[in-house]
Amino acid sequence: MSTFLQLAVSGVALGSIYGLIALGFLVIYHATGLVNFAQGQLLMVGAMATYLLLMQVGLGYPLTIAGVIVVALLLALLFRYGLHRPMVSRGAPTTNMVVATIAFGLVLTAAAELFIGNTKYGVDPVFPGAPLVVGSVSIQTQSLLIVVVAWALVGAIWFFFTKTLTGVSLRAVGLNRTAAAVSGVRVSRLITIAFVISVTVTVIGGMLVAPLIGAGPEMGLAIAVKGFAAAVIGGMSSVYRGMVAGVAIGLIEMLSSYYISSAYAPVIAYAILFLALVLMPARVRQSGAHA
Amino acid sequence: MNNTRMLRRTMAVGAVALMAGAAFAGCAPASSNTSPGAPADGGEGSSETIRIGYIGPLTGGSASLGVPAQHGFELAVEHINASGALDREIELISVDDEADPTKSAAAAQRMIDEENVIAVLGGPNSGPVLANNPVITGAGIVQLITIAQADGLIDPASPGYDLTFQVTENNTYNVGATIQFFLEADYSTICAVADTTEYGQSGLTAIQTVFAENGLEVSATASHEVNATDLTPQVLTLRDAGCDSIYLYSYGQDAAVFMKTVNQIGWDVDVIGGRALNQAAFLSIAGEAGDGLIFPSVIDLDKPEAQEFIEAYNAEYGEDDDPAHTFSALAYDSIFLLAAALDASGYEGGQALADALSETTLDNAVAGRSGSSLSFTEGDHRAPSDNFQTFWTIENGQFAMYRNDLPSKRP
Repeated sequence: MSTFLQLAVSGVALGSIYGLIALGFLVIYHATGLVNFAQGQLLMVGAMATYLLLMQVGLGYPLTIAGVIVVALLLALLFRYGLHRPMVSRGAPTTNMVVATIAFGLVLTAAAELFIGNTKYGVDPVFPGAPLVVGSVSIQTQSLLIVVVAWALVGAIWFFFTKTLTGVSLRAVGLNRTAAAVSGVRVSRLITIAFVISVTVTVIGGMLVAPLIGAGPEMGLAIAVKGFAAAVIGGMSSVYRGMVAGVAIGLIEMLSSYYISSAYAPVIAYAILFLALVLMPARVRQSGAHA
Repeated sequence: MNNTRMLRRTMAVGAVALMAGAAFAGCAPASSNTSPGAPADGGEGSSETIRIGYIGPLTGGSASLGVPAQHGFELAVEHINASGALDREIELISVDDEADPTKSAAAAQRMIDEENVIAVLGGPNSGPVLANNPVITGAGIVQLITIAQADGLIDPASPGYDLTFQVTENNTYNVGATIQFFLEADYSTICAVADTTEYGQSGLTAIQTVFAENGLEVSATASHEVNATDLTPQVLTLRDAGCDSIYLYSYGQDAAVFMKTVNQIGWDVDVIGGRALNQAAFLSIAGEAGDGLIFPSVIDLDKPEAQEFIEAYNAEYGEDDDPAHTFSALAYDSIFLLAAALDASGYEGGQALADALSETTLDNAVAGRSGSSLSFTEGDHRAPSDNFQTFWTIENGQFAMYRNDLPSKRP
């Protein structure tokens, strides 16, 4: 039982990170119909920026968090005004934009390698010290923090999309951009807001995970694949379903590596994604975009 | 030096653009950084310069092995050229393979077709070396494997054997030296963990073979993908198997995550590591969780050659670049072995160079315990002599030499 609970704790923490990535995918997808494959690299930027500000510059966590949020904002604006808007205004098809997000991700990785370094670096946890021990299970404070922050963000974003005028308008943009514009919604500004939310959430995911696995330019892809799987399993439609799916994937990954075979763990994650892609598209169409 | 760095950075920026393009086209990118003073056309080697290639990971997860190796090569080239020991200049041409076997084989083709190199230095990852070796030796060019440790890289049955040489001790040498800690301690349940790369899996095979030969049983093993995000299942698998000692044969960053998890669950178990723990990434990510771990090294701090090398290396690249110095030292020695053989072959490549290498000995090598040597002989293409290995540990978050008086034997 203690082994099962220990695995479950890791699975929930790791899965919450996948859920945050899923959230990042969903917010941009809702607003623009674009699947952003740079999500993993955005997470990497969060981790590397945390390493740079916390470990190299020595700012301490309060200032580092502020700094990382600023980085997220700048990155979101760069993404929106340097990539997305110019392509939309030239009438680029969505497939081109998807490829552009892949290129954007590659450039981010290369930039991190050039300007920060190309190995993996350790990052101090927010609360240093011994892990919490509950019965026979030990929990790193950082893992607990991941779960709390991730679910708080999901709650906040759910609130934003369902209870605020801006959020509801943003959903309207996702459902029918022309109709929304005709009704007086400022579409362009709302899409920018969607980019800011998506990038910030993902970057925070990187900041949270860095103390557990270190920060490095190549860290994003493996996490992003699972986050994408979570988004697809969540139906590409709902913020909390993506999060629940992320946690489910984290749990399956941990439990199957222990009870089935550790060597097959990555295969299992890809198999889940494969099944999700094969089985899910019908559901995405049915459900449409809603929060 | 600043100019060199600038040049390197500029070239790398170009390479990045290439990479982005190449990735879409689905072909293997090859980013090159040529040392300063390289002929712009890169075509025919002038009679004054000898071109030596290096294929290794300069970006990506293994760069913390590949870049220190490159720096070791560069420093050796700089020292040899400055000393005037050879009547020609050596020029190093580095191509990035990102530790990807496919890209590594493509890089090898490029070394042959475009770079006109006389010999190729193999990188730190065994998988890519296995992939690029047939291309290099198939073209009649000598390959000197610097850091990659898989036993199978030197195989008398392989067609490229005559032209392939390994400077580093291999997995079996490493494991054979490390086993004395397990023998001394009389553990009841020995377990091993490794990643699924060529390094990890061939290491696991070497562990099982060598331990069986010494009458020890490896009771349980666990594997994981490289750059794993969480190793809780692996740690719990070994804990629940009742292991009282673990042979940790993973690359630095995964080994660090493993040790952090061992600490987190409060498991008191003896862990002895493989040579990849010399990576800076291990130290950086593991923090206190790495303290007390013992692992093999090639650096003997009591040896003057090692002291001088470390001083020169730190002055040029900084103390954090390769804090354990294992990888850069092997790279440094490789260039000196190659230079001695080139001198002997009259700067002739191919079989003539291989014949010369087969008679080359480096007595004042940087790597290896005091009194050991790196030497190739006819029919023996593995350089380290007996008693080559030293052992290091981590004390208060820093690399520190643990023992340089334990015997080690060529397999």
